[in-house]
Amino acid sequence: MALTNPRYLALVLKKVLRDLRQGWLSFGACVAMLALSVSLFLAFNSAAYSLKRSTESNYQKLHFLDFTLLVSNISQSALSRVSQIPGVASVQGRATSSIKVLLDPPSVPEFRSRSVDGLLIGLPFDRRPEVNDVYVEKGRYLSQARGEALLEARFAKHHNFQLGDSIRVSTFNGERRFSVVGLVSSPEYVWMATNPFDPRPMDKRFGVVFVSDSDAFSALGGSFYNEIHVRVAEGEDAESVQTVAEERMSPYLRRSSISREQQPSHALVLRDERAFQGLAAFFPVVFLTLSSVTLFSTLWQLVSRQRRQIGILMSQGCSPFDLLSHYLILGLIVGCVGTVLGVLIGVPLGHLATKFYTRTLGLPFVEIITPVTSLALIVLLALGLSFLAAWTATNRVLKLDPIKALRSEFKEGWAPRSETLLDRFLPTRLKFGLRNLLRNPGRTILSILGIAVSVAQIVMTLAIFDSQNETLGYYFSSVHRYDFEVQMDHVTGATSLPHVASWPETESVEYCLRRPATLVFNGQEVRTNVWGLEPKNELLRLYNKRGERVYVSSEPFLFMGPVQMERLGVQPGDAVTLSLNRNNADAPVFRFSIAGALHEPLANPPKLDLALLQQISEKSEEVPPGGINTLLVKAKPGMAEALQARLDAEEQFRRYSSPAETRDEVESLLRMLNASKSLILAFTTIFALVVLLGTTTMNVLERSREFATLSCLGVSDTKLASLLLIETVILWFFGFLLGLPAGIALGTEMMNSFQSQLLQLDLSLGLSNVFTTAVVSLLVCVAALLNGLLKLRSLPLTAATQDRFE
Amino acid sequence: MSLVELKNIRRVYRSAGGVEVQAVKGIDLVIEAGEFVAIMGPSGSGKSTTMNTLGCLDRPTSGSYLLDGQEVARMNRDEWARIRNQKLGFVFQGFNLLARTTALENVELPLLYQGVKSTKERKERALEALASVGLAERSHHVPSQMSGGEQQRVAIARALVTRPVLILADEPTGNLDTKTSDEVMELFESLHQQGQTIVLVTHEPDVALKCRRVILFRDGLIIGDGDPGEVLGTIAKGVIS
Repeated sequence: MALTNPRYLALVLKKVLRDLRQGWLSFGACVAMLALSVSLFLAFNSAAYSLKRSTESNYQKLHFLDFTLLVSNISQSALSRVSQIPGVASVQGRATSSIKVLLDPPSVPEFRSRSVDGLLIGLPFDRRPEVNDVYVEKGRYLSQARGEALLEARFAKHHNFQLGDSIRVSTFNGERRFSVVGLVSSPEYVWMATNPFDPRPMDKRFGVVFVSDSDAFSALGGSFYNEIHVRVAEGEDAESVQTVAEERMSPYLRRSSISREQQPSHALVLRDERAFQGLAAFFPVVFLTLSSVTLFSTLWQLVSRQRRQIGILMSQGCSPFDLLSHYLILGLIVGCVGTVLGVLIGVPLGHLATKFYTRTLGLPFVEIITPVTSLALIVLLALGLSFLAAWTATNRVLKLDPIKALRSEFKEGWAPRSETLLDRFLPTRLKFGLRNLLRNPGRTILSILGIAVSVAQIVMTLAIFDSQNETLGYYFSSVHRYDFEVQMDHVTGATSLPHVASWPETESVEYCLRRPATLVFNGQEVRTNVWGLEPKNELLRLYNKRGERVYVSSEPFLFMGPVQMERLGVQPGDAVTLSLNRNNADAPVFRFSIAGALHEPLANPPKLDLALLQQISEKSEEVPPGGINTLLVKAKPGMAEALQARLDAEEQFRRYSSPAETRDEVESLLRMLNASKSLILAFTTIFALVVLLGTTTMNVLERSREFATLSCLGVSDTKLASLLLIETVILWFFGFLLGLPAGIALGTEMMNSFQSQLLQLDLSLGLSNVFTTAVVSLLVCVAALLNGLLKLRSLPLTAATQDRFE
Repeated sequence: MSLVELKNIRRVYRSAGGVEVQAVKGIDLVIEAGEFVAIMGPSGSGKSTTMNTLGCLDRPTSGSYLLDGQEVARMNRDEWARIRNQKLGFVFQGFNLLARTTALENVELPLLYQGVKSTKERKERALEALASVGLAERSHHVPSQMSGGEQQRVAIARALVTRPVLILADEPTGNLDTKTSDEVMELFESLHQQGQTIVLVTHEPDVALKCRRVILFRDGLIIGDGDPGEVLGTIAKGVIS
């Protein structure tokens, strides 16, 4: 083979370089597309892998639990019953209790003089816990039996707690004061969440305070643990160990045990890992496929253009295989450059994404790794596809007869034998545009696909943004119309409360009663809260899917959204049982019918009539008649701050939140998702530009003879440009037509993958965003055309009219 | 007033290596309306450069070009396009018809870009031009359904349809066999009889002999200009001597 001859190889490489230089834009487009695909694949894969490794590393270093047993008052000595179970590596008893963290000044203004919910967790002060250790970010670990506290770092940061500050917490046994000696992070709160179905970050409104076991016991009012955290030995099956532990500790269990997968923070981390992996699998594969098609098309066109050259070389004795090797080398060079560039961009991009994410989570130990298998896979895939594209585009060289290659040929093409409807009715300019697109169906399909893919991804991204905005808008403007939601510690008779409605700052007040309840349907049990609302509720409105107002009824009906209905497995009209007192097995059970589904994208507890809930509460629990525990308050215009000050002044109204805070939390939850989508949006726009740049340039190059002829016939540059523009608009039109529904389908699919038991978004796409997509995609098409127009202006007319390439 | 007046036309090319090549070295040429002229010469003699200058496809380095009394040498690209559309008709060696486009549409095309808005008028004029080259019946055929001679006749009809003052044909019979070449030359002869000015570039003495005037180029200069027999005779003498 001549390629083994260094001189010949040097010549081949010289020709390769010359071809690359001449078609730099088309090849540049191929390189750019390949680089985009490779980088996106690596970025998402590396982010998913690094996130997994980082959390694993944190779990390992801080001895994260494998499961938790929720027990009733167990002593230190009883822990040995668990530690003796084969396969158990370590056991840690813990006393935890719900508290209120009292936020004294100095704190953030919006939280002044208020309290937030929290958890007091006991830790041994004389040694580190064997399970669920904490990482001390600032300060030191506990060193004294009483009076010291470690504060979850993100909560501390939000509320300006510093080392040495004093923190007040309200416990069942009264108020306690601790001195903050350290700011820590815990593997239990990588995601600061207490409910695996509610991914809203709680680091602002939920304080985790670690104190010594003695202090925790004192807050609970005893010397007992109520949680046992277990770590399973390496190589042991956690599930079977958990089952044995449950059996052994069954007399002490107050609730079923919680596995690592059910642990709220870990469940949410797993959800994010899956989301990253989904992104890593879908988009790069689409991009990579289109990159290969573009390379195929570019090389196909190059072989066609160089047909005569090939004929000359063959007639001089060059073997078809040597000729083919030239094009394969060309394809591989493009593949290699694209892959290397993709790796160079993708690796740091993945690292950046990981850093951003782990910083958001506050993980102390971060491992940023680009998985070698992913790297090898994408490199092999990119090079393999480049080679395949080059081979399929150029192997016809092997069959080429040198005489045929040298001979000028008139390209045969389908044409109607008689006048068609197209001829009769279509304006001539449009007809030319359409016909030119049929000239090279492969390129036309590639262009349309490129536009369609880009439009689809833009539509998908915008539709998700639209859906989020619409949902949040609906939730916070139409449903939650109050300014403050005041939650009281105990159910109180409304008449015994300060008369908020008569405050000068108050526009309106509505009372609610919220109770923990157990709903049962067909043996399926769901523990949830239920809300009793006033009959003509205006401040927390209910709507059905059609947007019509729904009012709670004095009849025994439960109103819930699709998320709650799905959890319980009920349909409208089904009968469920409701019991209120979870601690009393003999608590009365009430039958309720499920009313028509509410439109509730963000899951809220089921609702019923306030009076009805008050009645059954009185029958089930020790609550005062007509009791309430929540106030929804709306301030008069411009008086929200004054109303807040009023609430702050009333001891029993100090625990309140505002929809704005909730919205802030939801938006913070969506930040990561939005960052990924923005990245995809940016890549998609570049991708569309690159595809179109490549195909438009090819279009002009292929038709240089035609354009030169038209120019000789007196068609001005402007008119030639308009001809190309018409073709581009037709391409865009078909691409848009395909891309729009594809984007909506893709968006629906994406939304489904991000649905949770809190959030159920329906895809919506505003007309303005359809218009924006249309305009942006058209502008990208026109921008891609500019290079073709520049080529047109510099077309050497005399040479181009003799060009034999059709 | 002459139809074409080239005065001291020079065209210098600079090669990629920076070497200057004088393709045309200051020629003067006058062509009157109604003439039927053949331009001949060996490769690199300057005939194609002169033809490109005449066709407003290439800008001379210096000199003046008056076409139909209008100085065109220094016009911009758009003005040239307008001149080509209104005053010139081109016939190429490779026909350069648009593929997948009927003969009628190919002929109609220059009218479309000339701004003739009426579809009816465009069709009538295109059909008229096709009829003048004997192809009215094949107006709905596409190039791939026609012979080389037929394609060239469509190309001539396309050149004629805008009623140009000058038809420029670059080796119009170069891709055709002898019989078809004769047919095409008969067509040019007939157009000449009707008063059409035609300038063609050819390598073939047979073709040149059918014209009324031959201009001979060598090394960027006109070395012969006159009756085809005389000029071609001079070449023959030169070859023999």
